[in-house]
Amino acid sequence: MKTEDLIDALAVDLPRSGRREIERRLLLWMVPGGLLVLAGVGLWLGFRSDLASAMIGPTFWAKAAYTGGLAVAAFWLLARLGRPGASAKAPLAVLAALLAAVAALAIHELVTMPMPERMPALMGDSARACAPNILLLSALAAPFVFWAARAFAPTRPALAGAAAGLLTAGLATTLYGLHCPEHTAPFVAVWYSLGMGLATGIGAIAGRFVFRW
Amino acid sequence: MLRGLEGDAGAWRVLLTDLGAHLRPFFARRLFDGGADAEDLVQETLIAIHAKRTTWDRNQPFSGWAYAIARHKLIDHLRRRGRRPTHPLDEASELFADHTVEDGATRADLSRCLSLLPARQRRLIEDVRLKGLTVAEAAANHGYTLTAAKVSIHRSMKSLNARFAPASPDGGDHED
Repeated sequence: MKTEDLIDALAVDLPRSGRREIERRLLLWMVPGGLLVLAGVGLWLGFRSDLASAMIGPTFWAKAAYTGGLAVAAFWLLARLGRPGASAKAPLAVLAALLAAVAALAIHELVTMPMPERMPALMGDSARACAPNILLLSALAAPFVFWAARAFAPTRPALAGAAAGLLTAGLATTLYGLHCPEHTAPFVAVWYSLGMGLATGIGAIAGRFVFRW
Repeated sequence: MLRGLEGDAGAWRVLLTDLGAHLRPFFARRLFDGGADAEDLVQETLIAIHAKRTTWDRNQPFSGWAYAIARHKLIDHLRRRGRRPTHPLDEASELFADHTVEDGATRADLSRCLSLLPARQRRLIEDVRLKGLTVAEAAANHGYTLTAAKVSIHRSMKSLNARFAPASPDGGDHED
């Protein structure tokens, strides 16, 4: 095919495209993904019995702030990585700062705790179940997020896949907080992060295949 | 680009054509294996730029965006071929091909010389001496009779010689 013919063919069908179109598309697709996770938490795991009272206290929202913050940073990172030539340094820095802050908080809490309380605070009641649950819930939302993110044009597909994985995990884990009654910073810093980290890794592998263009 | 995003097909066509002209040497310089692959890559890149046009951020330099896509396509291509670019020697002759920078400089000099002539005479000279038309064809093109055309060409050459020949004082031996 001649290049001129190709250009003619391409220039024929040219719908108007708006600003931040892909970001809007991604947000839109996160809604059904989130609803599916919500249904998964409600029907399969069950909401925590003290949900109403927990929502008044600060730890519930602190957990949501951590996981939700990671999701927002990952969204930002994905949006930068998805634009050829754009720098991804700022969202990566925010991500690192968030992780460092939570790690510092967890260490501080552990260190100021009397010795016998440390291990229970770290392990909680659901350390073993936490990461697998997060992974399963993330798997529910992942198709929506990755499908919507395909509209991006990442030049580093693995990294973009990691960002999409973290975004998915952030969404799923925030909703997982409706089930999980754990309330210590060390638990969240270790086990939540582990589950989200695994999801990020799987996302990186998936990204190599999904983000081909 | 902005007008293309707004749905202006004409502006989009101009942009793609322009980009194609820039991309061709960009790929050809980096591939070393003839024009076929480069043309494929140009087309692939144009398709990608078209399909992913919404990923251009309006606050971002356009050339950086387009260059990143072209680079991505190039790396993809090299990776698919599974080896580093090679330099077959028999194609090195292309490096010494007809079109050189000097070519452009010569052409610029030539048109500057010719610009001394009146426009009508100049067009006639260009047709006959540069484009290689016969005097009869050129005369018809510009509304001269055959004789008038011959006279005009003769006069043009004479005045050009008069203007430029003294620049080489010892006769015209090495002038051509």
